[in-house]
Amino acid sequence: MADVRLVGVSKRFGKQEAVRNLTLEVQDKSFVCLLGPSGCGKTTTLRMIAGLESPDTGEIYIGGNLVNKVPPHERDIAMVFQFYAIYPGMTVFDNLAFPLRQRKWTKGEIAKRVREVAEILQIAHLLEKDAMSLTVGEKQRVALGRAMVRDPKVFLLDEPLTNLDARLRAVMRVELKKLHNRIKTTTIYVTHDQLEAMTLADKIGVMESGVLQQYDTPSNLYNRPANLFVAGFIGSPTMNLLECRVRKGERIYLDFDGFTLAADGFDGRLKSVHDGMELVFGVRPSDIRVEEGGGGLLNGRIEVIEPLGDKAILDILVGRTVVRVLEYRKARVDVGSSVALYMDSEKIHFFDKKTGLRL
Amino acid sequence: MARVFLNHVVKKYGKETAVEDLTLEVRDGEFVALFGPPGAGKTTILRMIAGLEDVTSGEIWIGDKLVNDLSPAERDVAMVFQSFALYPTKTVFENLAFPLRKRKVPPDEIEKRVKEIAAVLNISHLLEKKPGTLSGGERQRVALGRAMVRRPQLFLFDEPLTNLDAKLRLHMRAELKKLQREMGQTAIFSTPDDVEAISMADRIAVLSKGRLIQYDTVDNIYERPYNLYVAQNIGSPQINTVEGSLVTEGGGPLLDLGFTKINLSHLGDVLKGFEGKSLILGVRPPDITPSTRKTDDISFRGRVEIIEDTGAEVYANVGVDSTTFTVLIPSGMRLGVGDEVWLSLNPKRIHIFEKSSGKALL
Repeated sequence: MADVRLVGVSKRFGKQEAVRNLTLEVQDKSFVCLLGPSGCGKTTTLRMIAGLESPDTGEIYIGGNLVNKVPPHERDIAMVFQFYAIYPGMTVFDNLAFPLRQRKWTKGEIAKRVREVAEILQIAHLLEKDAMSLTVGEKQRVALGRAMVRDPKVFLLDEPLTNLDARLRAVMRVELKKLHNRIKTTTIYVTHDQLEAMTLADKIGVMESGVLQQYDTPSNLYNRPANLFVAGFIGSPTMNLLECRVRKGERIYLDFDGFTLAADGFDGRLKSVHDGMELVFGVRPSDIRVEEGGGGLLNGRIEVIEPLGDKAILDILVGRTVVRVLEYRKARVDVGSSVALYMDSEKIHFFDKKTGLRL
Repeated sequence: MARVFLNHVVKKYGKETAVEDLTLEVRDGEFVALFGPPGAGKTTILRMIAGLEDVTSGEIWIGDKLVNDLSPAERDVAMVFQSFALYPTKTVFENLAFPLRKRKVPPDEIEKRVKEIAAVLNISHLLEKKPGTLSGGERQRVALGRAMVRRPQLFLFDEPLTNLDAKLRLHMRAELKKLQREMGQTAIFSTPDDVEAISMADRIAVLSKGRLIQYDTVDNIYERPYNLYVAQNIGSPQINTVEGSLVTEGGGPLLDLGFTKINLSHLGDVLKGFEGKSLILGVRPPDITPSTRKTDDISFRGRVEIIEDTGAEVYANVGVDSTTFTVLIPSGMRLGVGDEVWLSLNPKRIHIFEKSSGKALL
């Protein structure tokens, strides 16, 4: 068990700046996701923690020890790539024993340790089975078990669920979360899938272009995104982000593309803005209610309805902009009908368009 | 514009049956999904309609023409493949114009139609660019445009969104649906993703191993699945299933799940002949009401194993006896791992399947 600390870590590949001045603390026993699009620096960060890349500047600590100069195999970490990578033609026991045999453990020690780990993972009854005959969920536990037998202080996981289909991914996510609840080994997990990060992590580090954008709990990232990038990346369907310009007189008006909004209900939050300032008005599809007719904060016409079974996504043309709404009740409105959009003012997010920062 | 009718179509590769006796009608202007896992026969069906594969037996009609013996070019069909290839050295304009130039359409007519299509697809500003400089979604739209510019009577899309990333897929889903409706053209697409199928299609053909299992509207597929296969493959999170047996108590039929008994008297005659047999109860996560107290006679107790909070929605996995229910947690209800919770099923929203055949009883 160990915490992991990165202090001012940077890494370049030639002219390419992969990670810039990253400071991040992963608490002991916690599950942290590094989330971002491809090329954001998340995998480079993981590889630096594993010792597969060395940082140009900055320090990496595992369990309080500076590990910059420590080779990968002495760092006491286990890197797991794809969960279904297990040795075929071997029993579960042999799969788990493999890393220990490589390290020349005695037979007695191996048997004891394998059984211990198998019991934690609830696969003790499968030890004599051919690993290939297992279900995918069981295989995942074997792959993790193989990483666990050495008793690493930290698990590093690089997009382990990416190649699975959506349904299986959902099952594996739940398995993984249950497992972490039980074994509590510090885990750092790299993914580009915001849903995986939201559901698995205690804290998420959102990265973009090598820079850590926000490091916070899933609920804070969702409810108080620090900037436009985080707002657009977290949540599905994505937050509606509408550009507008401030017109400040006795009242505050927001001029959007094709319509104007009086900011009466939420002008308290716009005290710091100045006349002519460009803002981005953000509201999540699930935070908008739709009623037939007029009189809402916004009004528009339904362009597309995408049913999702128990809910539906409505694309509503407001002015010249499409606003997406997630409707939880069965849609009672049809394509083409005029609707009013209601939202609580505290569910509206404002960003400075120039800096991208939350107001 | 065209109706498509497949009449007892069979496709065999040697001894392997890829498509088994398929009869399917796609109405003029309809948007239909062929849905199933890899190996279900989706792509083979599209390729037979396009004329890229022969049928082993049966008839394919497009419009009022039997097209079995027509070449792909004569069928007036456009097929967009999963991995689409654009000409890398040509501009977007030339990529779009290419199918028309091949057909010797006069230059001013080409200009007009390319611009028209580009406007519909929102790529007018990209016409002078090369494909290599475009984003994945833009390239996807160019590929669609190249198929559309000929104004074929039928569109076939083979897994059109599979190779896009999650964000773009969501965006293109709405785009494609809007486009199809605006153009009013008959279109058939294949997908392994149930969300894509239900969000875009007017009707869904659910396939398994070359067999058509159910062909119906999105609502009916979701609300009245024909069998367990359809129920478990459509809707996410997946429907909860638990085995029980039919017993008669106090004059009425009950489904005994071990931890609770569900009154099925509203099903009446449907249950005749199933007494004592094993049945499977299916209930979707939103149709279970969780509560911190016992709320009614049929509610039962479980323990929270895991919480999944997606931001907009919170799901809990609740262990009850040896099974686990996925439950949608209403906003405002606070639950943690290890908490005790009572679950109540909405009896009007449950599905009952015969265990041996998997068929739905209602």
